[in-house]
Amino acid sequence: MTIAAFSGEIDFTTREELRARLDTLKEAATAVVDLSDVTYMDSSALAELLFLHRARSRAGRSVPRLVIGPRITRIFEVAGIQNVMPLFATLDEARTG
Amino acid sequence: MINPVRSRGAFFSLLAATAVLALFAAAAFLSRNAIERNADFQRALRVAQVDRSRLVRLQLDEETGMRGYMATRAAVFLQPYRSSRLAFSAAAAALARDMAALGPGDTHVAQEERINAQWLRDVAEPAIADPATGSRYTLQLRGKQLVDAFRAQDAALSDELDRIADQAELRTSRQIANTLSWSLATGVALAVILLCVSFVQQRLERELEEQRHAYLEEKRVADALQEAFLRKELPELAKADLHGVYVPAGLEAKVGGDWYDAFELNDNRILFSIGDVAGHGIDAAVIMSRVRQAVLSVGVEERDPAKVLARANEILLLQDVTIVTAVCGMIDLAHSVITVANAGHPAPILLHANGQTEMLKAGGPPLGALDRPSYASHTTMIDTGSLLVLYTDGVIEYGRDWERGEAKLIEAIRSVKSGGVLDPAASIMQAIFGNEPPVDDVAILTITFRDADASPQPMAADVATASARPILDRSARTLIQSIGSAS
Repeated sequence: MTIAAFSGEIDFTTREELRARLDTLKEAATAVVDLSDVTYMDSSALAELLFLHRARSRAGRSVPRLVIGPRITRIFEVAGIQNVMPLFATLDEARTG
Repeated sequence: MINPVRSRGAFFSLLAATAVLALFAAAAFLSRNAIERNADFQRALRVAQVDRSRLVRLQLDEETGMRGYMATRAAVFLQPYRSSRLAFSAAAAALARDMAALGPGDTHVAQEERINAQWLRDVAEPAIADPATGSRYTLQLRGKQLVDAFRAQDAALSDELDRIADQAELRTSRQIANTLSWSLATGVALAVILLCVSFVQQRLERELEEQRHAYLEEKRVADALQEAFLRKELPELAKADLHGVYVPAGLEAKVGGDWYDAFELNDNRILFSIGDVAGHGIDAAVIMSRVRQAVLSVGVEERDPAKVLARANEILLLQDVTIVTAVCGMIDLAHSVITVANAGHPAPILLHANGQTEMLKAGGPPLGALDRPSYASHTTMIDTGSLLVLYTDGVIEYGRDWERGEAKLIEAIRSVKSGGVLDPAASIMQAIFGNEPPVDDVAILTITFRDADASPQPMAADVATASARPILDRSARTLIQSIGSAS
């Protein structure tokens, strides 16, 4: 299980860094993205999470698990991500799957 | 943006240069103070020289007074002798103090005092008491020896004072030179710092100007593209008023790829879409135009918005660069229904004539993200007097707080509805942002459903309380005529 954790605000100004760090999860057996300390995310950040999912599914790997804090729940709901990737409230829940 | 690393480097260089400058200035200040202290020293030196000549004069007065008395026996000659003798020890003490102030180790004054005392005791007093004794050769010789010794001490003292004066002068001139050098160094350092600051500032300004220019250029092109895409007039319909507003982001933020579209299709259908390309600049504007093209070309043939989105997703996957959130919908005016499919976009809000708001939630993932996403269409009845509001996330995201943004949007929609306005889209924009430019691109598309024979007019406040009436109630003939005259 490989975990990448983020905090603060993620938007198009931090997109490259986000992409670089998510790339490290591409080959992992199980990928967990911990966003519980993220206070804001824009759609470009969402795009990178979806691209990670797409890259893994094209390689026949499992769906990334996302840990989502209350402050960004809404953007995931609006974008309909809950139907695409499993969302967890805590890292422990994401670990046990 | 200013390169933070380079500006930090410049900052530390400036700090170092300022420290050097402070050192130089401190050195200049210290040597200036030293010059002042030296001036005090030289004043003390002059006092010592005055006191020295006074002592010599007193000794001379003693001697001439004694000799005068010996030669004439006139008491008047004893006057200078006596007064000088009285004043001598006080003058000697003053000179000794002067010498101590100039430095330790002077013995000349003490020697002079001792010799003078010997001369008074061994020569002057016996000679005054008895002039016969005074003219004796041995006493004369003794007197000469003592006076010579006194003069020798005085000469040595004079030499010593000259030596001290020379040293002080040398020191002063050296300190003046030092002060000048440090002041000069301070001036040079200051000039160098000012030059560097102005150079760095100019370069930063130039870089900023270049970046600003490049940014403005890209924004200008993207804005022009956006404007060209949005300039197309919305269709004028008999039973629905369409209004759109698009405001590009303020200077500092991104220029995005927001759009809205509405087309009148045959058999009383309206195809509409609104969307937002993740990313900004010209690339986003280009992607936007492709998606809109796809939605239009598929939508003309395909009645199901979910299938339109699925097809748009396939087209976007060929680009494989970014994601797009969009809502695609079909309004069937003949049957008073609206069908909506959503690809990760904020849900459209339908304000019914009875004042209830409904969020048209039909969730699917954003376009361009997944290979085989599933989109579902959601159908709702519409009634006369209802208002459909489509928007991009800039509308609710402006405070980076979605919940608050949604609440504010719904409040704005209600206020617009009850206030009765000609252009609901512009009014909602105004209600939310006032005169502040939005930080992100913002697009709003509104569709007001009304009676076919009613001309476009401000939405009356009482519409909200009017009974919901399906558009279908109107006679087919009036409907066809209205559409005919509108197109």
